Formats: sequence, structure tokens, C-alpha cells
Amino acid sequence: MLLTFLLLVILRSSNLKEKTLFKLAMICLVIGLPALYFLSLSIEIKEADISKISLGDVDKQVKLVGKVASVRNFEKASIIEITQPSKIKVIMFVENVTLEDEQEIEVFGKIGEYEGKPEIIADVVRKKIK
Amino acid sequence: MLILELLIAIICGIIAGTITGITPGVHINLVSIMLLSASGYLFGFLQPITLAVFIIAMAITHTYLDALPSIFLGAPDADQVLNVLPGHRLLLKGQGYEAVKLTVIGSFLCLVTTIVFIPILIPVTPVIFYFVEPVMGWILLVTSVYMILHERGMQKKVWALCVYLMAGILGIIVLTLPNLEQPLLPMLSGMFGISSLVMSLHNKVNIPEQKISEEISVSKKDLSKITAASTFSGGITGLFPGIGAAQAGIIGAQLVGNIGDYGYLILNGGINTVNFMFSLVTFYTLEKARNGAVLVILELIEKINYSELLVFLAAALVVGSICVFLTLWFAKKFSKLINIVNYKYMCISVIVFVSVLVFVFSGWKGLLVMMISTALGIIPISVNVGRNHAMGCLLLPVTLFFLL
Repeated sequence: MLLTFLLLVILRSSNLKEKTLFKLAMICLVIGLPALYFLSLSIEIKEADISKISLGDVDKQVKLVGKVASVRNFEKASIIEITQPSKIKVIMFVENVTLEDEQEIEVFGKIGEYEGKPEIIADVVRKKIK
Repeated sequence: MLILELLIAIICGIIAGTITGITPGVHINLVSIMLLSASGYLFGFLQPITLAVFIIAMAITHTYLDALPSIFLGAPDADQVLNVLPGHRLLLKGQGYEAVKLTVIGSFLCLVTTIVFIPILIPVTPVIFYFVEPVMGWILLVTSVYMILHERGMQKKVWALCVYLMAGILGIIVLTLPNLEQPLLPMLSGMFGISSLVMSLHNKVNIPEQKISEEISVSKKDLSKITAASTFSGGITGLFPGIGAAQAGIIGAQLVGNIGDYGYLILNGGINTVNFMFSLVTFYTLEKARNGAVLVILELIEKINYSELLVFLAAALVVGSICVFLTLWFAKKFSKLINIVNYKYMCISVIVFVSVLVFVFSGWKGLLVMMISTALGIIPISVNVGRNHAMGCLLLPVTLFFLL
């Protein structure tokens, strides 16, 4: 609504002064920054607890933090088992993942189902940023 | 916190967009592809959405700042070719700063307009796409014919047709030439950039002292008309493959009629920004990429939800607002610099710089294309017909792509 109002202000001015342009840009900046903050909260993925992940959560985006229990590399994918201490399998469609056991990692991905159990289909696996 | 990552991405994107914007011949696609290659490493400490916001910030900044080399150096990129002539005319009147300000007004106004109309655009976009796509070729053909017939006098009409067809044939050859990387760079730099610089050198042009004006007089009616035309034609570029800001500029100019140099600069500044904003809407609604930067975002994030689209739009609003200050600051610096630097040597330096860029990216074939395009670009100036007819180099191949 505010942006629509601003648009009308610009379109109504026949002599567009530089100061007016700067003021409008500043107002848009003041609207944009808080909007970006609140919108970023809505997409920020909260850390999930493995023990609470169920098949009812399939397709939800998730972020997990845990320790590497094992890594198995296949031809076109890798399976990482992580503990929190509850365990879950993380599948990543990347060859030759090199992670050390007990290494603390962050996983971003989607909850999937395999053989009746939940698993994570990872988009990003990275070392935990302290 | 994600917001911190996003703010850092915005700052870095603005810096990258400033570099690509003010450097003739350097396109954001180059940086986007480099970013994609490094994404495996960057994902080690950044989220995919952060990289996407970086690309958006860079692209929006680029759409504001690419007016500077186009107006002050006569060295446009593909999206700014139509701004060269009106921008150069104002530069020769000492109004280079004003010319940049007009493109900034267009970019900022159309950015806000697109964001305001997003709730309507989202449901309407797929409908427009499926309705207009089958007749897109005909729309382009009618636009080209109208553009040629718009010239006054039979002789000029014939010349306009000749320029259009010669440029069109050259475009078809260049775009289908095997082993020619970045074909648009030599073709458009030659046709619209170097040809202007060669003519400036030939005519021994002197750049007058540049005035820094505080106020710009544009009628309310024109401003509303231009904003609507920019948003519509810029929207077309975001919707359909193969249609760029330059083709949209021609469609937009035919829609609004005679709007003078001021209106033309606002129109093209706006189209450039709307083109990118609309490609984000197309990405959300149709899951299709319509330019190199969005293609990289598509590679980073397969699809986006409504909240992510809103984050992108908020980031674009922040970047667009900052760029109003940034572009005008750079324009003031350029206005002072252009009076200090010898214009003749500057033209020669730009020609050499662009030739080196063409050689690096497109090789010997690119240099050959650039020379032919330069020769072709000089024809409309010599016979006094609109240089927009040389846009046949893109319009004819795209029209044939849709019709055949």
C-alpha cells in the first residue's frame, strides 16, 4: 500500500527534483530493510530434532545439526548417517563425500521416505559453523 | 542469522554489479557462471538463497549502472544499445548527468511498479504466456514493419528496410556461426558502440562542460505512459525466450509514440530493470529461466516458494533504492572526468578496450564480426535514418524463431 502511494507521488510530480527522488529512494530503503528482515525469518529453517522427525513430515524443508556416524559412497550418491544421538540417514546425490567420523555437520534438505522410515534428501551438507 | 548473510550478499552483489555495470562489455552472466562453478565451495558456509540474493543484487545494480558506459563512453551492453543515441545527444548538450538520471528514474519507477503489481502478475503471468506465445512472432513482425514505415519519405523508408534486412542477415549468420563465443558482444559493440565512437572521432566531436542539474521536467502524462509501456514491454522480455531489453525497447517506443530523448531514456532504463524483475516472477510461476542470471539461480535452487519470492523482491527493493544514490554519485564523477580527459583519446581507448575484450571472449572471428557490425552501424548515421533499424540483427532472427 505504501509503495503504491509512493508510486502515485512520483507519477504526480511534473518537475521531479533530485531531492524528491532521493527521499523516495530512502523511504523505499526504510520499507525494504525491515521487510527483508521479517521475510527472512519466515524462510529461516529452524534446527530440527531427529527424534521428532516422522513420516508425517515428508516433503518439509529441514535443517539438522549432528555428528557423522558413518559415510558410504556409491556411484552417484552418498549416504551419511548422523546422530544427535537419535540417528537418521542423509542421502546426498554427490559422489565421494569426504567427512570424518564424529565431525559436527549441518544438513539442509527435505524430509523423504525410504522403506517406511524418514530420511533426509540433502541439498547442502557443510561443517558446522561455530 | 539468515538476515546477516542476506545483507552481506546484498553488499557484495552491489559491488559486483557496480564493476560489471561500469565496465564496458562485462556482463553479469560471466560473474554468475563463475559463482555457479564455485557454489560447491560456497555452500560450505552459505545457504543457496544467499547466493541467489547475491545474483539478484548484482543484476539489479547492473541494470542501473550500465547506463554510464552507454551514455558517457558510447559503449553499451546488449540491454543498453537503444540508449546510446539519445544519451549521446544529451551528452553533447552537456546533459550527460541528466541522461543517466532519466534512466535511474525509469529503473526505480518501474522497480516499484513491478513490486506493487506482483500480486496481480502472479496469477496473470501463466495466462498471458500461453495466450501471447503463439502470436509473439507476429507481434514482432508488425513492430518491425511499423518501425520501418514510421520513417518519413520513401527514400528513408527504403534505407530503413535495407539497414533492417542487412542487420537481420548479419544477426542470423552471427548467431548461427559455429565456434563463436559470446556472439552478441562483437555484434552489438560494433553496431551501436564503436560505430558511434568512430563517427565522433570523424566529426571531431568536442564534449561540452557537463551540467549537474537538480530538477528534471517530465510531464505527468508522459511519465505515466512511459511507466506503463516499460512495465508492459519489459514484462514481455521476462516472459518470452529470445526477447531482450533492446527488442522490448522497440515495442515500448512504438506503444508510446513520440516521447523525445527524455522519455526514451526513462523507457529504456525502466525496461532493463523490469526485464529482470519479471524474470523472477516467471521463475516462480512457470519455473523457467529467461536470462543467464536467473538460470544460475535455477541451478542453485530448483524452485522457489512464495516466501522466497518475497525475500527476492524485498532484496531488489533495497538494492534498487541504494542504486539511485550510487548511480547518480558515479554519474557526477563521470561528468567531471569526461571534461578532464581528452575525448579523442578516450574514444580510442574505449575502442581498443572493447576490441581486446572481443578478442579475449570471441577470438579473431569476433573481431571480424565487430568490424562488419561497425561498418553496418555507420550506415544509418550516414543516411540519416533511425539506428533502431539496426536492431534487425536481433529482431529478424527472433521473429523467424517464433514464426518458423
